[in-house]
Amino acid sequence: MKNIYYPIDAEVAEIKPETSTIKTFRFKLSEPLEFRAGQFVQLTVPGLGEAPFTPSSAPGKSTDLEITILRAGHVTDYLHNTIKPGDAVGIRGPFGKGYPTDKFNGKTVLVIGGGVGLAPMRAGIYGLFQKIDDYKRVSIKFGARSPEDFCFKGEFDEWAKKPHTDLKLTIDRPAPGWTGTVGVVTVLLDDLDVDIENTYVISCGPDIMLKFVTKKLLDLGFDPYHIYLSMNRRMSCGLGKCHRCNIGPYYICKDGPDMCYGDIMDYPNVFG
Amino acid sequence: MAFFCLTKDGLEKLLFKLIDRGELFWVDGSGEGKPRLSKADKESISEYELPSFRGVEPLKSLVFPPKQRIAEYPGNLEKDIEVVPKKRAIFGIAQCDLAGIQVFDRVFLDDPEFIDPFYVERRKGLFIVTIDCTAVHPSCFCNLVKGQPYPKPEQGFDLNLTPIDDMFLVETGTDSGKEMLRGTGASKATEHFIALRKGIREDIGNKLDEQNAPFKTDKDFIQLVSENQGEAKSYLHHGSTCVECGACTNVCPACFCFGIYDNRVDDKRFERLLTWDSCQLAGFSRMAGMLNPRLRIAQRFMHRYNHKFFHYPWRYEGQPSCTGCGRCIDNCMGKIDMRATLRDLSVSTVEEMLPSPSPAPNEDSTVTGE
Repeated sequence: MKNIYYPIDAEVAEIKPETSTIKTFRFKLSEPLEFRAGQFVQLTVPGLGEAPFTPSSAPGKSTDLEITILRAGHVTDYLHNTIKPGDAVGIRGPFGKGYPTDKFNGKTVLVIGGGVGLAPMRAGIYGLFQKIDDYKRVSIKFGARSPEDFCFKGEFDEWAKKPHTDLKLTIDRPAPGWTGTVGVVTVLLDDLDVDIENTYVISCGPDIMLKFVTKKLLDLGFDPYHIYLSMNRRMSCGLGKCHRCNIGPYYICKDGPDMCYGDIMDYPNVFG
Repeated sequence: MAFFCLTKDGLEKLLFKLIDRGELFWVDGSGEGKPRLSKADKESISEYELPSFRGVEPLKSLVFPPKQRIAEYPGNLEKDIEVVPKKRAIFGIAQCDLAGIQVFDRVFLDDPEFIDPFYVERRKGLFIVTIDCTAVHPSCFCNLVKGQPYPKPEQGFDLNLTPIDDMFLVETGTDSGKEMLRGTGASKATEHFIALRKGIREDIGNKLDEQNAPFKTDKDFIQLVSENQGEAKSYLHHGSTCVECGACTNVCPACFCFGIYDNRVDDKRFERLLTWDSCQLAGFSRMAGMLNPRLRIAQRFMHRYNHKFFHYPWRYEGQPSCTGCGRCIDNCMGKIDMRATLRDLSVSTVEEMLPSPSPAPNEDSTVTGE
């Protein structure tokens, strides 16, 4: 019988710094793992435990998996400070539903990310690019504290060149040499030029960002059922059993991690 | 399925058979105080007495131990494991504890996506002998949470015993239950003997209804909790004495929330442990960076009711994950009565609410040993 708690063996293949607090880790898995955009995995750091991450590499089946990680707690501290290529780790998953990409067919997809929230968005974007002709338009809005705090900045030009895709960036405070927009990510929604009724939103970032992005979108007239938020909750099992990550009756691990805002909006503590 | 008549001597034979089958745990009603759960041995069989209501301890540790080793890594050795069901029997459990096992079954056994192999190992070989309750404990409230003081065959017992005079009426729930009666001298029960059970059940049901009349609400608890998704006053009123000890979740036969932790075994090996956890503790939902969506005690207090009466029934067949055993009431340091909290969701002002700390059961719960 399958042991649902067992992590498959993997090792660290490469570590790339993205910003001063964010690194992308490439892992080599002992067997291929297949995931859909938006699904997440539990990464085991031997002896320290597991932490949930959404991969930042392209969805599909592969023995290579990239995860982009912000230093925030004891597992991520270890990943940032101690772990090195060749070290053993474990991967369990994938878990969750992933993005409801079927619903996006023929529609505009508005991708809103902030800070390390760009990490899962990257897998989402790669997923969209794999079938770019299925969508009317892909509009990407990213925010970060400063120009240095954008992950994947080397890839932005390439993304913007994809068919019917546009990308806009903003930083929280003015910085030398920055000629683009300044302000939190919601400023990029001020003069939004999308057909709101035929647009789906996927968004990932800190709770506070999700809260204000959602408010802004609702003010603009978006249907709450067109907004998918990558929710942040503590998780342990990833299997919909330990009841740690719930919002109302939904399990973020099983029904998410990207939750339809319309489904969860009436329950307590959605944004912490 | 079928009804048999068993004598006291026959009951002893049945207990011997169950010990010979494998491990036997029983809820023992003999001795001072309340019924206790313990491991049975042949020497004690002659002194064993059926309990008249549920025991002090919940049975969940037998199917879901407080700490279990679930993996050792690396090496990909335990990705697939051979599951050999443990031959175990539990004897003399009340309906509230059987309902607790059903709560676990839905999560760990019946979920087609993720079946817990360790649960299967403990559950598949489990032989369950239940009882009809013949007395009502002051904190019992199964009648308020879709239960009744006796088990129904569809709840999954192998045998159920109802004491009648000096004998026992045995109802078989499974073929293996019927098989187990072989050699115990059990005889086919007469219609008259079977009919006596009805009156006994009505009596105990009436006693329970009478005891819990002050907590009865027009809407059932599932509806009340589901409709009160904000911070209802009742949660703040009754939860004000919660000291976050986690006793309520530990003694609950239906609380299954857990955590997964990893330890080092030696230089190269690590083990993964699954342990009971409690949603009432602050760390339960705390994330990296100290973010916590349920930072305040009131939020966690409310969460527990929501899990039992909204989240769980929403996901699993409309059944609550509270079985009304009342152990959380007996063990609460803040003297919080779950029934009172739930009842007061039906009123809107504190003046209409029952006092807080809630009225404790009709005895001093500090001396019960629970």
